[in-house]
Amino acid sequence: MIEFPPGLILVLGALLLPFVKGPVRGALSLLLPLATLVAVWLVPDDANVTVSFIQGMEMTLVKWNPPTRVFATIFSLMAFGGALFALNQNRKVELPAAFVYAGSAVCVTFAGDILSLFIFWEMMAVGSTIVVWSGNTEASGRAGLRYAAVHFLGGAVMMAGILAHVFALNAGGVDNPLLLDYFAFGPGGFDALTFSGPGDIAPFLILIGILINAATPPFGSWLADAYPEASESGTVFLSAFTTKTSVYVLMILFAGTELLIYAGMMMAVYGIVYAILENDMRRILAYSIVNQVGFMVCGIGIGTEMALNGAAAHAFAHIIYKALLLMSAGSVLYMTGKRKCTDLGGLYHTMPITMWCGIIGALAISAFPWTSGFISKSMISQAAADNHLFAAWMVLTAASAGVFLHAGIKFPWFVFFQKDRGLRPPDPPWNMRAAMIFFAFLCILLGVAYEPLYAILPYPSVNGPLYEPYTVSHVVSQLQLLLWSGLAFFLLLPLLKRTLTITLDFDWLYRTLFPSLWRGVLRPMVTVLGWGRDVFFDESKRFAGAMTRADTEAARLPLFREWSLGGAMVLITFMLFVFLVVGYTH
Amino acid sequence: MSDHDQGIIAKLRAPWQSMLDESPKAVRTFWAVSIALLLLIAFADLFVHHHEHFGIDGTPGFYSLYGLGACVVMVLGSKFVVGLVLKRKDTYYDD
Repeated sequence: MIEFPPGLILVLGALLLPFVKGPVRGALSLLLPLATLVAVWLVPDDANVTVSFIQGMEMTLVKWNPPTRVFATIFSLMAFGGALFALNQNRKVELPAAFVYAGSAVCVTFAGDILSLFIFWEMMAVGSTIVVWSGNTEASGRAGLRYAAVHFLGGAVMMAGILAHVFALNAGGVDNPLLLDYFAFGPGGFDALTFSGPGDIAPFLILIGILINAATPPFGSWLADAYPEASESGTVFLSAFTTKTSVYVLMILFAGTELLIYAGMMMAVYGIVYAILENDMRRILAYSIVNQVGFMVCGIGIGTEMALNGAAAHAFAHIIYKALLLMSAGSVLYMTGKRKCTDLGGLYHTMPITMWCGIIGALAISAFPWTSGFISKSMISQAAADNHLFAAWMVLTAASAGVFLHAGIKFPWFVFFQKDRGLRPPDPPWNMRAAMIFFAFLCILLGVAYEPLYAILPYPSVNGPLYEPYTVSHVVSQLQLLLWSGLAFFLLLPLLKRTLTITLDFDWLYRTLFPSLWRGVLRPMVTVLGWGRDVFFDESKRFAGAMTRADTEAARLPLFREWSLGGAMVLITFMLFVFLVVGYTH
Repeated sequence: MSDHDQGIIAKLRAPWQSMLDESPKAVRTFWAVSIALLLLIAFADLFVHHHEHFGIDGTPGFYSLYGLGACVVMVLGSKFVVGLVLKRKDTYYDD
């Protein structure tokens, strides 16, 4: 019997990886995820593993929540696929960091209390930051730092919310206020927010903390900023865990919160618009993560059993086809060293396996019948229709059409077809091909034999089938929607010509605006204050001296600019803290 | 056919030029099959009974037109609204 969190196999196993080499390392990197997968399934149904914490409080490390099985299974499977894809790379820290990241994600799904959930949630941020840094470029270094800053800020906001709620529960005489059950805000908890006491801002802060990780605009630009800067295998890992863990946590804590319907709709459209304009192939796919997570968030907002099952199933299917798409893009990057659509094209000549696997992933993300996307996404749309949510249904349907346009056709078209750039690289090494073929196989298998997935969804059906995806009406509607969107793509192709451009996103605020404010307003103010200090306190000259030195030599170092960002983050965190304290005292 | 029409067709052809040079037959087959599928699936919709939820979703051909229309709107909106305001050279952050 399993008496420990299964994710720890990956987390602790990752610490062994640096000490082994060659085939042993390879074997270990494939066995650890499989062992985790087996352990997940060996956890008994009534498991309740606790450790005691201060003041008689208990942390519950292992407990089944309704969506645990589906998420823990796919996270383990994903770690295996990612490890297989990364088998031939020789970066020392990337894989151990990815395993800490993946293992912590599995641990989050088993957490029975908010504190252990939060600890593993933060461990994910640490692991994933190191994965971004393993890109080993100057760009990945900076993007990783921004990524870390955003995530630790998100963690601080979430922790503030958790504390506010725990204290409110404590004041109410609750025995063990850490239990997740007390944090299931559901439809009522958030919508009925009245701000009558400090505990009332808790759901709000916790929700923002989660939405930052779910990449919801305006908090979500870290995703398209950081993920495409990681290595070809790093991005594959990154695509899977952070946003989908957020989906899991939203499902546990905020199912049925109406606001999420609108947040999800916005994400679905935002992802498409930015992906349409994007030139970097992996950034196109990064924006399409936001689009796909939008469907899930919308489903969680709808909150019926059908919608939640749909969101969970879609997370499962999405992790596989998105990893597959990024493996295909990663293989292209690995073999050509190029990542922009304007440099790519015509690769169908010599990379057939990469192309076909990319196309299968593209069909799956577009939810073509007989692929995994179809049997999951249609459940969310169905739930919107069943609840007569006209606007949500119209937006999700339009977004389904847009997915085919921006990811389903655009990615394969510009990378493998369109203009022949004369590139003739072969398909990538065997392990990368094997990982792609395995995931491509799963995309189709799930589309055809979906019952095993339906059987592990959060709310199994009591009598009769849970949901029937393959009705004539569903298949014909979906094929119409997709094929005619395809026509739109080719008719509008002259307008979609790739250019050497990016599209400004919310990260502009902290990459351009805040640093400018610091240089233009705050630093001069600090300098003036420094002069003031000089006048009044002779001994403070050293500080002012440091300040003026920073103005000259140090200011040109990249290190100094990033400090200014870190400073801004600390300032914001501090202000939130003050906000919380003021909330208490009034 | 007027000059204007020629212009549009030339524009639509341009992205295919590389592949047309290599294998015109494959490109023509792709288009012939695609157009046949488009018409076939739209036609098939006449004989399918949809369970209506909102009144319009049962109309024959609704999904074809909505898919096409939604994509046109999203592409034009991206390019001429969002793109116009927020597009920058891809070296923007390097400076």
